[in-house]
Amino acid sequence: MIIRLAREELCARVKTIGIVSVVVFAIVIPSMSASRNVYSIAIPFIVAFTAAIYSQRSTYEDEKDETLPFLRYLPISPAEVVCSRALASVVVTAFYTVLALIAVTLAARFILGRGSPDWKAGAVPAFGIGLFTMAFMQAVYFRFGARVIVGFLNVAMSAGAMALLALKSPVLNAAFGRVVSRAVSHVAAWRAENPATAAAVLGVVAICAILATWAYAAWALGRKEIA
Amino acid sequence: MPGSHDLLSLGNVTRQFPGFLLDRVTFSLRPGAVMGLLGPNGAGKTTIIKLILNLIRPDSGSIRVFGLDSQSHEIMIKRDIGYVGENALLPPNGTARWLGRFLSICFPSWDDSVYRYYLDRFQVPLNKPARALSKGTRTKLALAAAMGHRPRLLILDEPTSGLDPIVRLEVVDAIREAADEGGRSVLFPTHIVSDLEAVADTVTVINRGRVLMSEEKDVLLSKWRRMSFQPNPSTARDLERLCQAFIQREQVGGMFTGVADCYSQDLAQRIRNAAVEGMVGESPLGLEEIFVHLVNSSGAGAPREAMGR
Repeated sequence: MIIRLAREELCARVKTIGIVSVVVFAIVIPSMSASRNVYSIAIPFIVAFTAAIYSQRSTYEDEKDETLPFLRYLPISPAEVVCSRALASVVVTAFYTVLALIAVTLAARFILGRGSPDWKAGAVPAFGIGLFTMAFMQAVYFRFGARVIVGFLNVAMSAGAMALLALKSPVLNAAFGRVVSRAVSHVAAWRAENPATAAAVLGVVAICAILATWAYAAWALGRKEIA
Repeated sequence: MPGSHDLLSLGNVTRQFPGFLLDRVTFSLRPGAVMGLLGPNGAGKTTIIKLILNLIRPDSGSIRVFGLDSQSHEIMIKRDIGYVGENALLPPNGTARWLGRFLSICFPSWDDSVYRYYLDRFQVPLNKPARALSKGTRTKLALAAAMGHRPRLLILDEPTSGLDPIVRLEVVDAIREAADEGGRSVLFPTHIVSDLEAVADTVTVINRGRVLMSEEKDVLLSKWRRMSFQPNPSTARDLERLCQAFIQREQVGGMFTGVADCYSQDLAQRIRNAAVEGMVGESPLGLEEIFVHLVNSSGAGAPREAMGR
């Protein structure tokens, strides 16, 4: 049931997936020019961004088509709906990650003139970040509706811009720069000494965060009343 | 009152919304019966349907469908319910073919031949998206989809509202046919009384979130009568008492006319005794007249004695 529901969800979103795919290529060049480390920053950034856009568009379509009320009239539990969405999200995120890798590789080789990429460095975190973004957006949608997602995206982008400004702020750097850079270097050193443990901890935290977000989405959908 | 063998039973179901209270709704539907849920717009009919389908939850009271609690057995219950709404809920891009395929995933008892039978009968195009269909055709598609898994309970939330008379008759015919299939119960909320007269076995009238009455249609029709008679001057005392049996009454000249909601042979005999011989007339009321009387009297909230004065 979940697999077939996920397949229906993917079939219904083919157009959206295609439109958002164009975005991947449209943002590759500026993001690569802006990032120093192409594969650790550009790919996660691209996947997170496209996942957010995909989620916004798909939830908007979902709400417009009254898909949730339609499903709620049927003998499908909220958990099944959420699991099918999660499965569809895994497929879409994997697709965007591969697409981002291809786009970045092509751009690195033929535009920036760099060598072959180490795709593992960017692809795995990109997939995790993309999946979390999808899970988070779905949870927000099930709890508050599609309109809130647009507002949330605006707030997130504003927060990102403010964070970038804060990084450059001499006042904040003077106040917190030393503390932050010491913490970062501690973490980096520990990671360098224990690469396997660090990867495992990060993986477990990421998986827990993603699962917890989907669980919250299922709870929110179960509580939702169709007025 | 709800019994243990009822297919559907609501007991003191209460739900409060801002500006609206569904107040201690109690009624039951026996297996194989067609219940008309009559009420004016905004009476609470759709709210009751949503409570039954667990799309909203009651503040208090119990809802049992097929003997199971509607909240804890939601999925099991929905497998045996067919639902058709006023604005048939269909994905706008979904075609009849797609819908059949999708619903076959959701309902283990899906029978594609039943679905195809109704699609053929209603001449619903297979490959046209729902958004391109007329309202009548969408309703027919929703009805075909609701019948496809041979539900034990069919819930039709004003499906004929806004349809032209030809399509309406087609839909009502199909509903009547569906109800005649062995053991199937139908809950048919509407404010179009004529649709109900042909199909309903039981009628429940609600207004402003309260059940005004719930009764077998034939019993209801037999209890309501319009009576007119010329009182005998020698029985003026009896007349005063007789008047209490009428919920609406008027006296023009020497002729008394009233509507009784508890007609019986005994009442008829008492009226004959109190009237001038040969000056008694009575006629049954239609469902629509009964509905209007009930809603008007409940809406005013006035005591029975004050009615018609």
